[in-house]
Amino acid sequence: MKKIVVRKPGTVRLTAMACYCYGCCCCGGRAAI
Amino acid sequence: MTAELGERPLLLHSLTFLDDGDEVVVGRRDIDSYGVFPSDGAALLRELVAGRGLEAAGEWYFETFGERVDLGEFVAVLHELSFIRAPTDPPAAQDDASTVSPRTHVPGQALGKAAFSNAAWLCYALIVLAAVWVCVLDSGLTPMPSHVFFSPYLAVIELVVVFGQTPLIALHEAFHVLAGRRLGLTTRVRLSYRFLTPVVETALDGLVTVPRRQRALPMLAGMLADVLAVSGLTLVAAATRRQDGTVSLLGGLCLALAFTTLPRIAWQFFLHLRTDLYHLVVLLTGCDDLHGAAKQVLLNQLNAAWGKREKVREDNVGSRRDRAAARWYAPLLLSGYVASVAMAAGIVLPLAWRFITMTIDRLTGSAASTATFWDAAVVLILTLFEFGLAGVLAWRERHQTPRHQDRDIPRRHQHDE
Repeated sequence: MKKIVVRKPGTVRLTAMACYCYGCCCCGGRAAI
Repeated sequence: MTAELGERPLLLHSLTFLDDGDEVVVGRRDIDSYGVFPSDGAALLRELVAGRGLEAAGEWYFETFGERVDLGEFVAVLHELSFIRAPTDPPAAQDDASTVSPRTHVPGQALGKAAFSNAAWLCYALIVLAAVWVCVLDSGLTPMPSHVFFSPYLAVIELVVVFGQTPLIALHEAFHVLAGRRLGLTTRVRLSYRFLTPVVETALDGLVTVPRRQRALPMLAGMLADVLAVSGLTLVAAATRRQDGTVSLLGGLCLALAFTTLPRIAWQFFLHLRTDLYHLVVLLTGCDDLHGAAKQVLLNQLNAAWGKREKVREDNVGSRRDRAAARWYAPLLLSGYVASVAMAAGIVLPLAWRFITMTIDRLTGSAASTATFWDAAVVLILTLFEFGLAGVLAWRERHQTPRHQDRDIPRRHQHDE
């Protein structure tokens, strides 16, 4: 007897980075210390 | 939607159907529950939706496709997806076969349509062009790293960035929400994390029920908001210049926020973190769960290399197109994670260690003034809070009960024939 195969689609989760430690990792501004 | 098998009615909720190649995406937008059915399975479901009884639907399937279908298994799948309505549930909004793809009205839909109307697009274009124009006329208005340090106190800078970026992040997510509501989709916004970074996340799982050509706008709406934010802040800085042409304090704050929005735009290119641009790549390649398929390829290769063949999964993640694309995406995924780990180990953590030790020196040093002490204390607290938040979000997601959409259909339903 045939089994109908059903799968779950991928999720769609749209994001915005909430990091504010910009000086540390992005623009090197912490060097100003 | 009602189907009857003698004295056993099969009640169904209102469902959407979207033909997608040789598969059909069926779902309930109200609870974000979706399944990808083969074309014959979707046809069987349409017969049930149209009012054919379960036994009669089975006979119809046999006459149409020449095989007997396991109806018990099929009904179990419908239960798993919460497609079947209990007798005590309210009836479907429209109860006839012609409305198998109901048009859903959701709050904010009118605002969403206005936000992406032709008039709105014209305004957005004017804002961006005006910002580019003022930067061309005066290069000092172009957001630069030096604009971030508008104050000698790091705490002031960081507090402005924290409290200034928060509404800008909210604007980014608001554009995703409006673009989704414009299409009649439900949306959920929450805090989450990607690698070591806290993120704000808008769930638009219902996009799988929308024709592919309409999915790009909701995916890119957030970055559109970021570009508009940078442009708008630059224009405010231009409009509030002092008479001698220098940037005012307000203008300095605006340019600081404009510049610190740029890393958020650049971050979207980290596809391995499943950013907005990752979803656009999935859309353009005709895929569905590229990340999941690529992750499975890497895990299988790792387990095979370690001799753990019993852990190599024979069942497959994603569609056939996902598995084909995973061959080239898996190395990119691995490279992305290696780059993130390398950046964390080689840049972020050493800088963070230096920063924390210097800050503690400022806090405990006898020469520290009150202003210096509180400056260092506030910066330290904010920095530790950010990493702590990422850790808490990661712990919460690993320990929370899976949402309906996150639960897999039992593996017995996922094997290819």
